[in-house]
Amino acid sequence: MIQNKFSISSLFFSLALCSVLVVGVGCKGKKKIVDTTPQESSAAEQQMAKVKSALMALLNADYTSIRQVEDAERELAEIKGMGIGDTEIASLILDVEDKLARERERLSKKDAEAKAKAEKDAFNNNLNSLFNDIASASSTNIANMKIEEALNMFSSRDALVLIAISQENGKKDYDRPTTITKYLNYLKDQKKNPNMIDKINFDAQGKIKELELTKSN
Amino acid sequence: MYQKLIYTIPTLLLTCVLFFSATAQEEISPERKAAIDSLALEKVRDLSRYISIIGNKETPFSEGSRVIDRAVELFSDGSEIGVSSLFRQGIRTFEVRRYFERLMALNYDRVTIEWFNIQYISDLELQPDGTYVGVITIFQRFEGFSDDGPSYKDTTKKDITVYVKRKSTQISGRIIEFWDVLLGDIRVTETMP
Repeated sequence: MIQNKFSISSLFFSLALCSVLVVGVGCKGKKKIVDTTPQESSAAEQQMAKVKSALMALLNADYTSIRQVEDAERELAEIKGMGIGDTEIASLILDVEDKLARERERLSKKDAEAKAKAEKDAFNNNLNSLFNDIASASSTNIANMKIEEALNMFSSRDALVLIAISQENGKKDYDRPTTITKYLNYLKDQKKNPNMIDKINFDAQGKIKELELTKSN
Repeated sequence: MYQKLIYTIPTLLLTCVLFFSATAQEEISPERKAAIDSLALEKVRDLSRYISIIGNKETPFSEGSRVIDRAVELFSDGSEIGVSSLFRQGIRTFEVRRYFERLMALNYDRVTIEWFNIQYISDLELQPDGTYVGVITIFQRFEGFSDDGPSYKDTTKKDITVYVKRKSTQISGRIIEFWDVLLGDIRVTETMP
């Protein structure tokens, strides 16, 4: 009897709890409906459209510097931080990530090439400047000092120097091959620097082992 | 029959000569030929500067000797240089190194040598053996001054034979083809006060 009484009270408690839960869920569902008023729904759609537009802009942009890629990456991180659970946006994010990764790689390579070219140009200018100093030295002693300075940049005093006198269909005509010591003395003796630096080959120690020049006239 | 042979043999010989000439020659474009012409002229200008350094009394002996080596390198083996004087009949010739050594040892206190009007009088022409041969003429103004003796000056016109040949050399396992310009004899053709 007592057990039966307990069962009835348990059943009653359970029903009451269910009622509370149903009412609670009902209230919550009602609240959700209240949250997505036509105005709010329109604002959310506008925000989605705005995000899509921003992602499309990031996807179609022409990136010319690493800085631009970094700015785009920051913008993309902000968009990702919004946590928008839209499949189209998720797909666009992946596309933009892929594009930015490719652009970063391309521009990094381009920057590295530009840096290498700038270093090469600076080196060539420095060497050519030494050649000019030797050719225009006011005395033999000064010219000889500059020659020694220039020779320090070479792997040996007999490093090969080639002078191209003409080029046709990719084939070069050279003057008789000479050595760097003879060439530097030539500049000193003739008091002129008639050739341009065309190509430099370095050894493992970063010294010049072969210099190719082109007639500048 | 005998008369037929008289015409046939020279014709065959001429054909052979023309054939071997053609095979030895390398066709080059006018642009490449111009570059070679220019290179040969430049070698003569380089020699002009070397002669000026060697003759200059202010040039240290070591420098003069080094420049003589460089000047000699411009010539083909056995080349000679003619020397004339307003006070002497005829022209003496010296082997190139001997000429430069004598020039360095000239008994003047100051010497100036200047070359001008350097130009081709006979263009580089391709020979059957593949060598280009030409003649470049120059005028040389020589002035030798002595502080306590007589001075001397003259202007000489000289002809320089120039040989240009395609050669190849192997450097570090690499074949490099180049045009080798070599100067030949220098002949005095005119001597003026």
